[in-house]
Amino acid sequence: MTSSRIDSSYPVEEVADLEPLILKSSSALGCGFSILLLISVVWNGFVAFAAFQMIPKQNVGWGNWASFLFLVPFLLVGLALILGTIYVGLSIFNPRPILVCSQQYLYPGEEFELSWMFPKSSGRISSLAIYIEGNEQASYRQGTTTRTETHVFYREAVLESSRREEFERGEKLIRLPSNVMHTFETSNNKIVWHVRFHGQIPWWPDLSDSFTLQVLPPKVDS
Amino acid sequence: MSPIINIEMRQRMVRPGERLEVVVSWSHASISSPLELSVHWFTTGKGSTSECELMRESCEQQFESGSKTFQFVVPRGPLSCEGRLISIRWEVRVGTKRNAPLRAELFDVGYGDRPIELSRFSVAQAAGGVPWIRQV
Repeated sequence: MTSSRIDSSYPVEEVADLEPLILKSSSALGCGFSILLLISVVWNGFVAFAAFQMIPKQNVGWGNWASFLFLVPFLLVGLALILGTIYVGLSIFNPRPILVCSQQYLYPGEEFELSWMFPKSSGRISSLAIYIEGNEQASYRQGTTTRTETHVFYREAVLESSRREEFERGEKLIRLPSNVMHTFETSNNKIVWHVRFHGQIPWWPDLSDSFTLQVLPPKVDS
Repeated sequence: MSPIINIEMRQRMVRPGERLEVVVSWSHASISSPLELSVHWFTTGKGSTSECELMRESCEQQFESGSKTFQFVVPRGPLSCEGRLISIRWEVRVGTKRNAPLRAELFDVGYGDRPIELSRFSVAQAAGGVPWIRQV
């Protein structure tokens, strides 16, 4: 008796690869901002309530002052949360690139074209770097928490420029080496490929965006 | 007496799409608990182990000693690799339903003569001045 199972740890072709693919950004700034805002409001609400209860009033002793000083680290954490929320909130208004890949399925050793553009003004960006990265990600349990470690094993510069006419829109032919590892994904172990954008904006949070690429194992000769 | 099992494979590096031939021979095996052969890939390294069994076949041995040849068409992936955090290896295991595998043999799946080495690509030259990258 023989049994076999389907393995979904690596991507395969699901539809005909006829059209270029508009890649979706994998950064979730809006979601991150909402979570940070909620944490910030709850934390600072509790700390503010406690602080008002403990504010030293006239004719009170050192005990009340000591309680107030005890609150200082909590107030500082609250302040950091407010600043972090503002930082993430401002970065939502950064210019967002649109990235198009010439084909849906990428294979090691095969050529493809990446083209990008900024639909809104990129005038605030002073320099832009675009990289293709291969990462290995391992998650493991440590006590009651799950930790994830990431290691970049491949990086190729697509563009590094401070000239607006170069980075505002462009395209480049890319060929991954023939002996690189394909995308691999299980609950605890991943090999992922990204296109990363990093733009520097003076006096503003930097642009940081990431797009996931699906690199398939080479086709099997039939 | 526990059974003596031997696994023979012609190649240790198998290309996707190729037929892997495994010869299992046994002696002192109990006829009442049939031997089973299974093919797996699994991860090693820093992360918790991920594993997938791709095929299981019963030996259904009629004698205490004997041998059987199994064939398995190696799928397209995942390819074997060796990284700093993750490595992927393949294994043939033989055991009974009730017990842990009694015998296992490793092999690799890929197009070269050894697993893909993730660390062969240097990222140092591009790493400077890229602030979002946290090197492990």
